[in-house]
Amino acid sequence: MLKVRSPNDVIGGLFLIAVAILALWLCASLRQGTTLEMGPGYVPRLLCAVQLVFGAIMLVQGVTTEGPPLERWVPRPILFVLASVTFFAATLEPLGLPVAVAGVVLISAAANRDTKPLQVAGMAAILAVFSVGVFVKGLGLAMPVWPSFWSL
Amino acid sequence: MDSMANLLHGLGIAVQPGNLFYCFVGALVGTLIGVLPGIGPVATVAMLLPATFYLPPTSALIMLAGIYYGAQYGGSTTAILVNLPGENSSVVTCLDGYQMARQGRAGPALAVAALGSVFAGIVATFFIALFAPPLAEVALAFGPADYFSLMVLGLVAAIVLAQGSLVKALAMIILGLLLSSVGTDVESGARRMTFGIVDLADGINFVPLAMGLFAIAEIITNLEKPEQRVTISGRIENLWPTLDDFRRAWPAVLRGTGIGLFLGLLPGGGAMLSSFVAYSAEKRISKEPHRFGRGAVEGVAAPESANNAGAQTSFIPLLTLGIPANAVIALMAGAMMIHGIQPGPQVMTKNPDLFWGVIASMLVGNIMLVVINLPLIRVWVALLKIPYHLFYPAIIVFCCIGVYTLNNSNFDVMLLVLFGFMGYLFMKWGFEPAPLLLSFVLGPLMEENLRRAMQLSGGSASTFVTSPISAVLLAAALGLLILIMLPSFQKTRETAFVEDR
Repeated sequence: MLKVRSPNDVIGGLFLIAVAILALWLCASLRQGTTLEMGPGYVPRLLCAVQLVFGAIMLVQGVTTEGPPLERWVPRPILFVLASVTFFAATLEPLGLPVAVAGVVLISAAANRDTKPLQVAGMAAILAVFSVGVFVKGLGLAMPVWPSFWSL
Repeated sequence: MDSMANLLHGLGIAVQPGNLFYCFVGALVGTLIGVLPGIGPVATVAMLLPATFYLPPTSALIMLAGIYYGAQYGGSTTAILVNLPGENSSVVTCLDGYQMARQGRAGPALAVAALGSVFAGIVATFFIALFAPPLAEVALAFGPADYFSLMVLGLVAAIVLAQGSLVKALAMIILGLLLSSVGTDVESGARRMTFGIVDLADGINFVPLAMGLFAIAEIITNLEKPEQRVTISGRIENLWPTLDDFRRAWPAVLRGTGIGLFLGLLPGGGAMLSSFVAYSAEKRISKEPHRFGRGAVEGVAAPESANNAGAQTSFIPLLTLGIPANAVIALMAGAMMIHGIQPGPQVMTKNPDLFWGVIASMLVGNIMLVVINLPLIRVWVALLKIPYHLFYPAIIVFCCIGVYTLNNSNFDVMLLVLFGFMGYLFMKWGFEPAPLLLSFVLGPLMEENLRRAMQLSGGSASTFVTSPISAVLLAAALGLLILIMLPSFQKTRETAFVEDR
């Protein structure tokens, strides 16, 4: 029975193999071509093949060499940081920049336990005003300021 | 034309009011993020990339370059005063710098670091002006096969000097190349690996990739650890080093500068490696090695000069060969490409104003940095007290706005989420994201040159070994790979980073 000695290598190897297989599947319809006249599929397939080899090497390493145990994930920052960016993408166009920015601050601040509610509110307000002032008014970037239903 | 005349011409460009202003902004921002632990130059440059679209390319690069070497100045302040490296390249400065601060000599330590840095910065600028043009001329003679092999060598060399597992680094290179092949194939017009998503037709955008892997992933991992309390050691009363300090420091500055100049040139080198090597070299040749770690002024002077020299000379491979040496430089390459300038030997002839303007701006920037750092040191100390939880939401906001405004695309913002998570996984699994970024930048060029070389040779891969330049470059790459697999070399490679920590 194979024993996992270096879990980081095993999981990394599996990741590489999975990505390579996904890419190969996505490239399935692309023309391969010849070495003289390489088609669009030639180089990606070549890369996938090499990546499969590296993935396999890492799997072997994972069962033959000792490595550190897997690091623990801390769900709180992952969840709130990524959620805040998602919130921005979802709300900028329908609700406008100030809402999106304030939302990012409120959500991302929840990723740690140190920030006090008053500080969060202050940061949200300051950054919302700052973003509109600098990016929209100052630099003239095309971002909606007001919610889209206001203009209806 | 002679280098010095060109440098003067560049100086004329660097001191134009607009460029002077952006140089100052770069130096200021660089110092700021250097001082603040938890945000590094890679994340900052990634964050500011979108802003540079609205600038002329020369101003944009002057500013971004200022951030990189400015961060080396700021990083030492934090290292000396709070024993936290503001930047990776200041890790070794903590050892003696903080001890000096505890002995009440924070002022002299800061002054030695700044003066050593400015000296190194000025020497490095002249070094670039002298050696970049001949290098670029050599590269101009390269054919497609040679250029392909050069990029292979650049990527291999970059990982030899990096930390961590070789297989993982090589895998990251392949993954970066694979990601760079997403989108429309230039030659056939076929869409590759786009999942049928229209937003991916132009390929994966460089900015969300870099920001996600570095800025967002970094924020998440920083938040996992309890926030470090900042305690500032010692008051800064007198900035001036004693005569004895000067006597001890200047040879160390010279050696550190020399080491930095050369290590910066190497792919994978740059500021961090230079500072580590300079510190251990200084300790090894010292007649009183026992003083190191107890507040030896040489232990501050050497690495601080080295990291600044290394930060600057790492621009040489980019400006002359089109090979980014490390992640920050890869971002600069991205910035150049966004402005329609292909990094490589032709930059010097096609965009001489940019080439010489950026180089000369380093002269201006270094002098500005001394002024920004030394007299204003108390301002930076005050900034150090800002806790991380009060500024990371702002970083996220600026990342979101920056990514969105690139193409006014929500899709790019969602890519930021994806790559942020991927970057986090990489950190957990012990993958270095830097090689991925380097190969992502080089990917399209490598494929193009590979295809062209194969067409020219009639489809025979032997062209890579029959062309003498290409053969030498590939042999060097292979040699490096073999070298790195030798057990004895692996040991030195590990100790180069671990020693003295």
